[in-house]
Amino acid sequence: MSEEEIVRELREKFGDLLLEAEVRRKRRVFVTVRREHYREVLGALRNMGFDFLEALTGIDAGDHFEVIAHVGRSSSVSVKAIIPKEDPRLPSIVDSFKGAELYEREVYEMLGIVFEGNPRLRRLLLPEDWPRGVYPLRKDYKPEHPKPLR
Amino acid sequence: MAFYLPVGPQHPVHPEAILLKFKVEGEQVVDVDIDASYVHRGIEKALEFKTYTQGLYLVERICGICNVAHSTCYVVNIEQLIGREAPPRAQYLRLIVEELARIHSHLLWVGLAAHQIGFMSLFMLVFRDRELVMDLIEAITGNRVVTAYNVIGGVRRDIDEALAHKVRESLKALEERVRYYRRVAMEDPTVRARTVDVGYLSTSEARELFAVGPVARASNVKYDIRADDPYVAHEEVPFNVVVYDTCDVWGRLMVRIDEVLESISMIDYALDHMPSGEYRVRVPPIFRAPPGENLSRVEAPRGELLHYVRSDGGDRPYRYKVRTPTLANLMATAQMLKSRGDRVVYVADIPIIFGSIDPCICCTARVLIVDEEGKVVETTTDELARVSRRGEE
Repeated sequence: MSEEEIVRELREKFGDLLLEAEVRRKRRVFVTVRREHYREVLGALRNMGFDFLEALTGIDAGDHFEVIAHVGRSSSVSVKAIIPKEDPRLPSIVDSFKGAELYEREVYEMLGIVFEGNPRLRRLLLPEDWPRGVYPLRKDYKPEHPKPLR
Repeated sequence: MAFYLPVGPQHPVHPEAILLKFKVEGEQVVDVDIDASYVHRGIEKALEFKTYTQGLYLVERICGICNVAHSTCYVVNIEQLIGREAPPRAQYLRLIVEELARIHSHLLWVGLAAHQIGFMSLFMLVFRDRELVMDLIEAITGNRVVTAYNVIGGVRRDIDEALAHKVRESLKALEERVRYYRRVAMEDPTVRARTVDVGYLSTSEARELFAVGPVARASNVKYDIRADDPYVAHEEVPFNVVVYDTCDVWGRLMVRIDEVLESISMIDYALDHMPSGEYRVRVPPIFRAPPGENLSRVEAPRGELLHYVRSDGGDRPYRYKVRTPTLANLMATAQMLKSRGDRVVYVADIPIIFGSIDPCICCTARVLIVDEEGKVVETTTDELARVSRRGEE
């Protein structure tokens, strides 16, 4: 399936629900949706043969959060979900993409986005004395300046 | 009655810090927890404070063994972001060094696998022959391990005819040795007894759990970024994607040995067909990237490596994401390490099964997994905070 066909098929299915759907370069498709349609779009892609989740990227984009699901093998489709800052929640996709579990946990821990439906969603990586509610990949988290060594 | 058996964070066969917490009944493994959080260094955050050129040096140090894969992925990503592609000769040079790094990484793994099954003479022989490649990498790039060969816009050094001759001669000698190791892997009863039907991962499990690289290819999943999403001169250099359907540790061994032979023929072909011309376009050391985002993927020795960059128009990335192959393979590893049905996993096979994904924990530097009874595995690292602090200098 060519990149243009992917975009056309998604546009036919979802129409205006896609805030953005375009081919950025060869084998790179970017799609933006509101979080309500994130699962549906990924489900449709899965039925189109994109059943391989490469990664989940979480971004603090200033006035909102974004979670990008990169799916596909040869062609890579990046599905971007827009998440409001005051309510950082996103439905989990572990039921249809089983291996998504650890990627969701990483985003949860680093940005504080709660994946609803992930049965094992909890902190894993940060040190045990890391304060609650501090998320290092958020832009308002500033690492301390290093003290000079003596 | 079940016992909990911790393996790591320090263990003789896995020099990198990782904790495998096994639930065992007698000699059989029932369940496993993997905690890979000991070496998290906060590199993604640190990259937000570095200029694009500085970032390259940090990215190379994510992992020593796959530094070429990381730097290739990074420079391709940034070049696509700013629209300055490397010249054709640089694409070939990148391919040559990348394949040399793959050979050295795979041979390193074959040696370690021999070590993990207690076959010490094989370990030493393989490591001796690996030196041939290390010397070539040093001759081409100037460095043995962290090559610093890729730069944004091309590569740092060219290969002249004398050096090309040396590469061909060394690889010819190496090919003979690798063919011998291939025969050992095929026929030696010790190797077969320890690897055949050990660490089973079915094709459907490999697909479901998103296994990548040699782990996926040994489970009959034909997936290789070099073929599926070429990023350097792969469209012009012929090669085969090696696939085995045995789904076990032996298959992973054979995939890697065969890939070494493929890499040798790729380098030979690339040396003969390299276009002449520039090997680098100059990019200023500090530049602003246009606002946008880009995704690049590379077939690292351990599997698919993914980098994602977001730019807001400044001279530093707004967000840089790295997904390493070991992280992608950890779910599959946990599956391999569990006894299920008539596939019994014994305690004695733990090192080679875990080793069979060629784990690179410092690459992963993130975490995982499967915790029975919902217990939180404790970690005490404060590395993230410490290294993140260094970012603002």
